[in-house]
Amino acid sequence: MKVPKLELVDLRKEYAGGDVVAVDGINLSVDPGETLALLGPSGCGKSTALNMIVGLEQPTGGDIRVDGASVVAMPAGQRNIGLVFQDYAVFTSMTVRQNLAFGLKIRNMDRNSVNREVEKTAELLGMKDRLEAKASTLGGSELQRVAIGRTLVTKPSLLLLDEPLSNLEAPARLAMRQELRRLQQEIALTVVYVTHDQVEALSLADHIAVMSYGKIIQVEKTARIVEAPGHAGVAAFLGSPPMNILRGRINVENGRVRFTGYNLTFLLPACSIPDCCAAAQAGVMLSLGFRAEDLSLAGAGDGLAAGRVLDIEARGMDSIVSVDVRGTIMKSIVLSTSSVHEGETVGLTVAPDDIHIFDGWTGLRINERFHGNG
Amino acid sequence: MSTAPYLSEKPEVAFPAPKPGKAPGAKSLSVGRLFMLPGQAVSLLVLVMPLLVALYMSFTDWTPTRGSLTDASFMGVENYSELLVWDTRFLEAVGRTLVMAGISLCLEFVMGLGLAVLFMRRFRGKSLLFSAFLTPMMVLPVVVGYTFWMLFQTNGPVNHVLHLLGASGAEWFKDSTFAFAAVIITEVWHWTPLFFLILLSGLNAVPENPIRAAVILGASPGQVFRYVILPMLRPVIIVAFVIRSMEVVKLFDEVFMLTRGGPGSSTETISLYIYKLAFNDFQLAYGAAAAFLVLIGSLGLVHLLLTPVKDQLLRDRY
Repeated sequence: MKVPKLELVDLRKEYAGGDVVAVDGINLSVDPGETLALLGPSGCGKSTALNMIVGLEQPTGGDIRVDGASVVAMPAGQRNIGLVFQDYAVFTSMTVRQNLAFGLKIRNMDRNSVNREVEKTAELLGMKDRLEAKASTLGGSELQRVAIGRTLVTKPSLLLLDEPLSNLEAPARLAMRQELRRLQQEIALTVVYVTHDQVEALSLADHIAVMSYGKIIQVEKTARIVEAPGHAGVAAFLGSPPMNILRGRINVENGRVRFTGYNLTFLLPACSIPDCCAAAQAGVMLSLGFRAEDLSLAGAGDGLAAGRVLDIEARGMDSIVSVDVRGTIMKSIVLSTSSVHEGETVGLTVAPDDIHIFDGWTGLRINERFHGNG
Repeated sequence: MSTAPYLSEKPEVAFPAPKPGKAPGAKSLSVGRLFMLPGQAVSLLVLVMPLLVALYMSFTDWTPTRGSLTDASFMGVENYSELLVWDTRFLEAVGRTLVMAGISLCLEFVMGLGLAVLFMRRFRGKSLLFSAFLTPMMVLPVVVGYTFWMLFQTNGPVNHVLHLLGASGAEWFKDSTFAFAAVIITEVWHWTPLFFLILLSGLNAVPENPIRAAVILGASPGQVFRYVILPMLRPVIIVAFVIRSMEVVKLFDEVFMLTRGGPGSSTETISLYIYKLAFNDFQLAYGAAAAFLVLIGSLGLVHLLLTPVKDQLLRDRY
């Protein structure tokens, strides 16, 4: 079976006569066999987008194309797009076998073929010995397998997963993530994966589209989106903890660059980034991003700025130190906290190459972190 | 039980064992029990005592003309055997009540479900209609019986409408089939709202995602209803049937007002027959035995109805 391509063109969904815009004209293209994660905080419109793709909701505007053909006018049941729900939505009054067979039975497939397909899918999901179990007796990860199997058995052209792991406990989630990766490798499918969990997105997707307030703010290859987020919003969402973002203006003083933000001003290490200086010339509003891993602690008089240590959160291998720099909280990851104490004044330093610079108004990235990557 | 080698028999750090003696809160529990005592005493007096007296009475030949209950002679299970073997009027009343219950409950279920499904959609005047549909349930059975008695009169509105439609009117209370139908129509009008209300709340509690999942898998609205919604509604449907069947076995007021069990005994229900035994013929002991048989029968019926969903209803959630 040919693996199709999915395209969303200016897709829009409004509620309450246009007062609420859930999805604000998104454009997206998912290549055949690719897994794309739609990542964003709760309420950003990602599930609404998914519901429109599958046909549960009608878009207010725009188009959804599978292999170039619009499916907007097609009812949900005819689109051959599978959706796995966050709460599994397994038919609890049925057995595992009946659940898996449901989609095939209503397509009037003969009994032998149904049984053959169901057994094959159960084998793939490692559920062969649980086929006769009542769905109401299954645990979380088993229910998840049934939900995925019930969709896969119908051989959908596209598979959509709506936060499929968020109802599972941590160990089951880890195991299921591996399971999903294995399935992706075994079955070539175009997959759209909706999640608010960046770890899931990073471990499962080829590309990540970050959504915020109904818009897609960046679509990028998974590895690159973390290294060099293209938008201040993406930077403020990805990472644990996310990037420190400071808004302000920069001015060149005697060849040195001074950043002036809310209640705080400091000299940047050097004008080693040409784009940064260009921006300073233009005098535009900027957002500076410092990844917590790149921000290190120094003596009180050293570094970019000084602040008071507010909190030290131990995470096992490392700790997150929150520093209050004149009302702005900056987070730094340090390996050893033996020399840091709450309440003491420390300096913060960052290497010039580790400063991410975004346009203060549009949020778009200004400086290029990796030369030649476009 | 075998223990792992690294675990000693008694762990060094353990939660302190509870001290022997009264458990904490035991005192307050006994005070609580004391507060419950008056209620328990009243319920013992008005519920359990009469039940025990009636049970004893059902094994005697007591009638009010024989003086005190202690004067009556003990007859063992004679009343019961008489009822079950020889009293055809009782057996017919039981059969008739069951047929009446079966027909009315099925009609009430179908109409209640239809209305409930209709009310899942959006339409104008829904809230007004909702109140209107629930009204019959709130009317006293005696009033319902009297109202329908007037409606079904030979010169009454029902026959008038039938004439307007070109049909000949019926002698509702003189023909046994029509009388039977009149009782069922009254009962269905009175109690369909209860089915409607229970099924509507059941439908509202059905989770949305399994329905959406079925739609995505290509199921038609009919298939979604049959394979997804109805199975999830099953416990609610059975509970509705249990509540109504317990009521319908006791069906009395409407029949009393409409037909008094007639013509002949063609609409005589068990309750009506027991009433006649006790208060027309003063055979109180015999009537008590009949009432106990009905009680046992009802318990069996409820148990039978609940068996398929018992596990689901008695699931431990906490």
